[in-house]
Amino acid sequence: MTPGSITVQSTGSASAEGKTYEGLKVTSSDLQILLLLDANHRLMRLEVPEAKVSVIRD
Amino acid sequence: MDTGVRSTVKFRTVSFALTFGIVACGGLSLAAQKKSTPTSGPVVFAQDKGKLTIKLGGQTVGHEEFEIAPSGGGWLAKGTAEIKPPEGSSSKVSGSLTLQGNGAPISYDWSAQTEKTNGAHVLFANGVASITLEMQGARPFQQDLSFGSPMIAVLDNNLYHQYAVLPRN
Repeated sequence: MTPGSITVQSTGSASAEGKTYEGLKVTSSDLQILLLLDANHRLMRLEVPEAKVSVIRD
Repeated sequence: MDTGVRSTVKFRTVSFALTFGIVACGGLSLAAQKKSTPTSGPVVFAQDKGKLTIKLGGQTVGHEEFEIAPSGGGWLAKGTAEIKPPEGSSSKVSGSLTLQGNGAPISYDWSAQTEKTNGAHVLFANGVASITLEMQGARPFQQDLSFGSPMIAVLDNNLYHQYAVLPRN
């Protein structure tokens, strides 16, 4: 395990596959991760464009 | 602890996002506001349960089931992911994170099954994570990590439900 720091910033409204979410950008020393949340702040999608990774709630 | 992380990061292409096993959320604005929040302060979590599909380049490489629920006066966020990258053997990773109502972690248990079974137990107190790492075939290894704040986010390899906890912090 490695300690580090991240920052989390709101990106406002964001859309994916025709749906609108609330976006949060998580930034570490070497990565940017986009979290897409529904109106209840539930995680619906996680995207790391640089790595072509998507994590999608079923 | 690097050894532990590397052992679970056989699937670098999938676990890209998990450079950190444990990450201190120093820049998280909401967390920063709560640094002075007593442990008995407002509850920030909401019950949640679901399944995640993990895709790499549009191809499904894994699934994860998770649940976030009240537990023993605090909260428990647990999940299990099964990952089979296009090139490489499959892996099963589980994590259970207990949290105070204000989001500060209490303990974290992790296990990973690949060719070997490895695990770790972490206790959090006063901004210090006391880690016991158990690698199959090796003696337990202990390490303390100091974060300078009790508001610590745990973002483990291939356990993406932990990002569902992050917005609550």
